[in-house]
Amino acid sequence: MAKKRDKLEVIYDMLRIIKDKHNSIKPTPLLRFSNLSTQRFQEYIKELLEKELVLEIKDKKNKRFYSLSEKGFKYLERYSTIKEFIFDFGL
Amino acid sequence: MPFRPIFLTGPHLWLELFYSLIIILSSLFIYLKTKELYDLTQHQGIKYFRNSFLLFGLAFFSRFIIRIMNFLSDDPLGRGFHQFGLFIFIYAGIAAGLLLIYSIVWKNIKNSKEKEPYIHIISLIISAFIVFTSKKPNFLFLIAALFIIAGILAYQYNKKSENKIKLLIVYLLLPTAWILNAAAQIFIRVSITTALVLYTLSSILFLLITYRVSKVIKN
Repeated sequence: MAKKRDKLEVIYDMLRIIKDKHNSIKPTPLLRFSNLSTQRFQEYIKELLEKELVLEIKDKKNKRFYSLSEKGFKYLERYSTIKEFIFDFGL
Repeated sequence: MPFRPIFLTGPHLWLELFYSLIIILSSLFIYLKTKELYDLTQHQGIKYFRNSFLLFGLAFFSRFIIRIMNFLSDDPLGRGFHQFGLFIFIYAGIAAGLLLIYSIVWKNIKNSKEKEPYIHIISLIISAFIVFTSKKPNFLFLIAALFIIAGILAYQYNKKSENKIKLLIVYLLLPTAWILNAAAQIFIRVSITTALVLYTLSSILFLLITYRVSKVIKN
């Protein structure tokens, strides 16, 4: 059985999916690729928006897209350091 | 008595200055170096860890001010100033020690309600009792007991955890070093040799964590 992802890992996966989709993805495919329940997905996306890791953009037809903010790119770049720090210091 | 020039006060003062600088700068370095990781993640453990070192820095800064005032003048800014400095030193030291231990056990506490305010309240109350009552030794034993209980909890948690903390012993020794510093500050007039040993051991602990932080967070 696959190990349950921790919060930092889920956030990393969601950000990476957005980045891999040319930094623009609709909510439904993001939900599918994230491998989360709808409720958990809503919680995470709300948190990502609050933490300003992700930006919500609406096109002319009023359709929503998510893209990474500068902070989101930084998170991806620093992820291995974040994990190592938390692991090393037992936080 | 008039203030004496700083260079006329002997090796004790230089030792104090050097020691305080090591601890304060190490603490500030850790606090500032971990800012980016906290800003990106808002991770609770990182928050407690950072705040702990900010408080250690504050504790040793106020300790340094008290020591310097004692060195420079027989009757420095008065008893009130000394009491206030001591109050900050003890409050910040207790809160720092408890927060450091809490930073590794918070995940195991079922109730996710924020505990940091309670740590500050407990530390403020104990500090007030120590500074404003005559039962100083009793309260230092109480703090030691508090740290021992917190330390045992952290040790038990670490034993069960898959993710063994490499620096656990350093974590547990930091509050111990602070208690020895507090004891030396409040009751005992230590010789320069004893002070040197105590200061060297405390500095090594802080420098070990600083080194580890700078190694993990390279840029």
